[in-house]
Amino acid sequence: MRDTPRYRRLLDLRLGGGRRSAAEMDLEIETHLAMRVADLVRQGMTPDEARAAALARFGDFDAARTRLHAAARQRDKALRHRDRLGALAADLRYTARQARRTPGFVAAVVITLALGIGANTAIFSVTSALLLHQLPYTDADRLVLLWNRSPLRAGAVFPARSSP
Amino acid sequence: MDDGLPLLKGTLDLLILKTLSWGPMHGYAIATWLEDRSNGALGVDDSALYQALQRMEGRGWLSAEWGTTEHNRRARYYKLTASGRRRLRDESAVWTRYTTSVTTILGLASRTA
Repeated sequence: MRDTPRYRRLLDLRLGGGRRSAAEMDLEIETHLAMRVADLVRQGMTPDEARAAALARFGDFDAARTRLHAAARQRDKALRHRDRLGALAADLRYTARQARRTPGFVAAVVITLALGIGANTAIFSVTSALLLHQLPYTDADRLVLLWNRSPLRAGAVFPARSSP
Repeated sequence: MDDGLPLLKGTLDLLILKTLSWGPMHGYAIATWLEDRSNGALGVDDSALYQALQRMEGRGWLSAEWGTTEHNRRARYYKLTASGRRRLRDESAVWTRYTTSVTTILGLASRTA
């Protein structure tokens, strides 16, 4: 579709793609000038006059060429970015299609993950409360719980609040 | 081309999109197409044209590929993408509304003192 295949553009990232963009722009400008010159010569100019006239239509030619090199580099950067986004979207679409084709496998994976994460969370909550966090009192390790045994009702036990 | 009308900002993009709606063309063909259709009235600076082409290709409105002209020259052919076609439709509508409004106002009879 485009002049440069996608894999080439991806490689260009490493292989000095900026220089390639500029060289391509030069080729494009040269083609443009050659066609303009040919037209002007057909209209009766000498080749030298025609060349000068064709260059003049770029304004300050050297400055224009530098600007166009920058524009070409910018363009290729944008295209590479677009390619990467496109590849990511294609991967996601492919994944979704595969997942739809094997619903049993997807269900197994989802349930495994859900149980695994759920069990870990439950165990960690308990462990964290019991072992890792101290009670919010000073000298938490010296807290005691006192129990009263009632003489009136045999076997009945009442917790009693301990006051510091 | 020195005596051509200067292009309003944003107009060149619209003209390029319209030109390419006729089919893929290389830069020089776009320039001459615009000159011919406007009878030389529109001043398209060659440098500005290529600047615009690179920008529009970067935005995904155009795609380009190298091809060979009828005179056996290697040229970069630009063509509209689907998003470029949408852009042309939307921008044409805006342009028409804009110019119609301005023309209406300019056409109002002046209040004579």
